Amino acid sequence: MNPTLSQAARDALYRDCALAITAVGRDRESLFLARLALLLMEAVGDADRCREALEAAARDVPAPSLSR
Amino acid sequence: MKRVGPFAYTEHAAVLPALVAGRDPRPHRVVIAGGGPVGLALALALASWGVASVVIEADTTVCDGSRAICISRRSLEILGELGALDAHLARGLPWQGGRTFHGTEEILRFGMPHDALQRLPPMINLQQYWIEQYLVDAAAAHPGLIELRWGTELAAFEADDAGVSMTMRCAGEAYAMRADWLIACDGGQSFVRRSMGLKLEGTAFDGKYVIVDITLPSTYPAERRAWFDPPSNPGSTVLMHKQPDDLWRLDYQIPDDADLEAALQPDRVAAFVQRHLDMVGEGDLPWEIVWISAYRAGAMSLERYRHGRILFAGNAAHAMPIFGVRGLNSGFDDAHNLGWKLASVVRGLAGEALLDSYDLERRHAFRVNAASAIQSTEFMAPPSRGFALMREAAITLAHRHASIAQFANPRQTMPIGYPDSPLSVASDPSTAGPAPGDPPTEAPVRGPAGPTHLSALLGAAWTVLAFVEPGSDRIDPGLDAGLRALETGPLPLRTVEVAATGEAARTTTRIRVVDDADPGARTAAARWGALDGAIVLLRPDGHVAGRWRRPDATTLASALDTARCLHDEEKA
Repeated sequence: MNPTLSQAARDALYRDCALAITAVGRDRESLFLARLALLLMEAVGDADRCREALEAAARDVPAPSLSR
Repeated sequence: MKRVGPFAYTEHAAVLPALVAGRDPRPHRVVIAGGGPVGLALALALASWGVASVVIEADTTVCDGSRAICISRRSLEILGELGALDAHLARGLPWQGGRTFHGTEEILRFGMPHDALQRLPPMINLQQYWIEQYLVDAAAAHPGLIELRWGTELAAFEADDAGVSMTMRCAGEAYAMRADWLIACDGGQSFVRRSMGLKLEGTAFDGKYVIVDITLPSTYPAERRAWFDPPSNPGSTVLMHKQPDDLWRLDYQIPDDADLEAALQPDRVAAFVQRHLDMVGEGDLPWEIVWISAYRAGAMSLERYRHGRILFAGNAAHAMPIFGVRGLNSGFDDAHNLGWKLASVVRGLAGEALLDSYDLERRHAFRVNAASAIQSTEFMAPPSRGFALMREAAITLAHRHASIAQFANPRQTMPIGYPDSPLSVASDPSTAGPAPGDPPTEAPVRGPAGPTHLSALLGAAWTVLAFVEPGSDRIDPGLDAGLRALETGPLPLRTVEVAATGEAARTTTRIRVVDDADPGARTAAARWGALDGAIVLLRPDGHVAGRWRRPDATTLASALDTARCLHDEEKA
């Protein structure tokens, strides 16, 4: 079971996430994202899927050039 | 005389045995290096099997300073078997849980497993010098079996296939002695371990902790309190535990780059403690520093706990982070596991391979303990940026998310089973209750002398726990005859019959208890997964060797052979 977001919902969440990161500010950006990760892991409730997401996020993380 | 509150240190005279040409000429079975709680517990366990030991202790008093203070329920059960429980319970402070704060906000209230049908609290707090004193007192009840040589240092030793030759130093004099077995219970700085060129391997952490004991006449109840980032000492993590005699333990972390020597200066410690007490509203109480020490966490172990005629137990064998209180408690488990095995080998009741099972089982326990302790330590003292960030994320979400709050649970020590034990035998499956290798489950029962608990009936013998089938009032006659033969055989073995109804009774080798202590429920049978009847063979340390629905006497006898590592040619 792997519910898929509609494109409209995905768009809205992307935008909300961007606004939330901007709103907390650079100093609190990391902590905000760590909290988000913890809450999402609880919401997903599936260790394998969480680990897959962790690995995908960690794969080839470049030095930021577009978001410096 | 030195005192700490009501505790008066007894100064023991150094004990020099009668020597013949510089030798203690008596042949000894077991020498225990180290008269700390683990060494003393081992000596008591051996004595309960009638096996004599000599305990070598360099000091002339019990321990000084900040040491273990938390004794788990499992350790209390062990102390009960060793004859030292009542004194511990009389002075120790029982507690069941605690709370964790972020700043001053409570983010977690945790409880250790407990219910009204237990005999013992999940934990008591008691200073190690009391623990050691009560064990010394218990040892005095075995004058012919436990010889405690105070003021004596193990200076050199050499093992061969048949035993260990040692040189002792006492009051400026050196003498030789020999024993069949040397057990190293000589602590974290073990002389035996270092002399053999052995090292503890594992995970060491950088976090630096200050441990301080203070006198404080606070009436706050006994529980574990932890503060992350308290306003009194921003950025730090503080733990606070109550001990008997108005003594309190505070542990706090100092930054990795801080100078530890400077942090241990009494004025610095006093200022930290005063700010903390002010925060909890007790800053006006008179208080004084008793001890200050430093601590660094590590989860490390020897690769093997048996080296021929030399075995290691307690901190000599492994180091545990303080978080979760697995240090002394795992040491008591070591002594309890080794005691019956070494005694059985010394008395010729078991094959020598039984001692290898001590190594296997207790190294398994180390791995289980280490996994929990490392998780706790990484939360208490984050080893890197990622751990620090995730911890702050968890702490700041904990108050609104119960599952995330569990990261702040200290994961206190729990009894550990041995699922891959070579001593376990093929068993019938059960849907509930302890499986082969598991520690015993507590249950209240009605005994011949009134209400009691299963845990109070175990110790220093094999136990056949016979849950009588419902509708019957006795064990199957064929098995019963076999059990009577085992009970009167060379092996210390008793049967505990658990009946649903009827009267409790006792004979020399058998006790009959009734499973109606919890009105309206067969609690013992339910907790052991034995509502339809079951026969459970318990090792002398209470762990399950095997369990069956309807075994015959041959099955039991064969299980007893396997669990004693008897080879075919040795079987009776």
